[in-house]
Amino acid sequence: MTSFLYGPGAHAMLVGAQATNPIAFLTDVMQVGLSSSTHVPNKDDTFLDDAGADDFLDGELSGTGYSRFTLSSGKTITYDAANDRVEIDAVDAAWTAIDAGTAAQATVFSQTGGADTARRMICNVDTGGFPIVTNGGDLSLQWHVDGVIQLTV
Amino acid sequence: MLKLLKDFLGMTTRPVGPSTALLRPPVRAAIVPKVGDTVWWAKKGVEGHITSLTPGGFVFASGGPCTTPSGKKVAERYSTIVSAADAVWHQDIHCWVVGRGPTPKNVRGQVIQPKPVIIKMGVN
Repeated sequence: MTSFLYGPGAHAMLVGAQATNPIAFLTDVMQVGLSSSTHVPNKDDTFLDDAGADDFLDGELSGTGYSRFTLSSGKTITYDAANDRVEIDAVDAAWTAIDAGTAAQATVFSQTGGADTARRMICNVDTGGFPIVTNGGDLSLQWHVDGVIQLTV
Repeated sequence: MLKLLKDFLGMTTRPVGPSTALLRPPVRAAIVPKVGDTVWWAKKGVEGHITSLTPGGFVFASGGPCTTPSGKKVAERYSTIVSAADAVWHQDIHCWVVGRGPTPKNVRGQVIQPKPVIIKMGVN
């Protein structure tokens, strides 16, 4: 498995206002959460709680120092003409004194929806240090300088 | 009657002797450096992360990547190469300690630096 964009989330984000339930990356509340290998990411999944026993909610970390991190500010969408790509970026995430098991991946999702059965996932990330055993120290998720997501045209 | 009493109390009637398990050397899983591991350079008192592996050790950089003013080239603020023999894995702080000097109680933390999720719209 490698990092990828969820199909339904991509659709809701790219189609924008034309979609029934659009995802507005810049204005919606975006969050990132960590999950163990119990979460088996599937590009076709839509929601955090997507039925079954292997979705994000089933594998979400639980324990000291863990909570979903809100990407509250610093979200940007820019076009990099030199590299022919749209770069979608966000602030780095951080957890203090986290001791909540092994994180196999991070999932970025839209917090809107009211319940996990309606909160849509955008992308799954499992590179750059995953899986990682939380050890009671701080943990930071530093997005790449060129963005969380790159849309190459 | 004594045996029944011992069985009732959960005591064994087998002869007690030295356990062979205790005579075996302890088995330790080999911990090898890998890219992304945290490194504490004790002499300098700085923290870094392993950026690449070498045949006899690894390269680690401190301060993390930065962007140059002219563009988006990523440059490490500081990097050095060490021999694996000079690095000791400290399980309690979950990092490699290089050289001698005071060790931190808890390093600044673990860092994950994922690559961007790349989508390609098409091929011309």
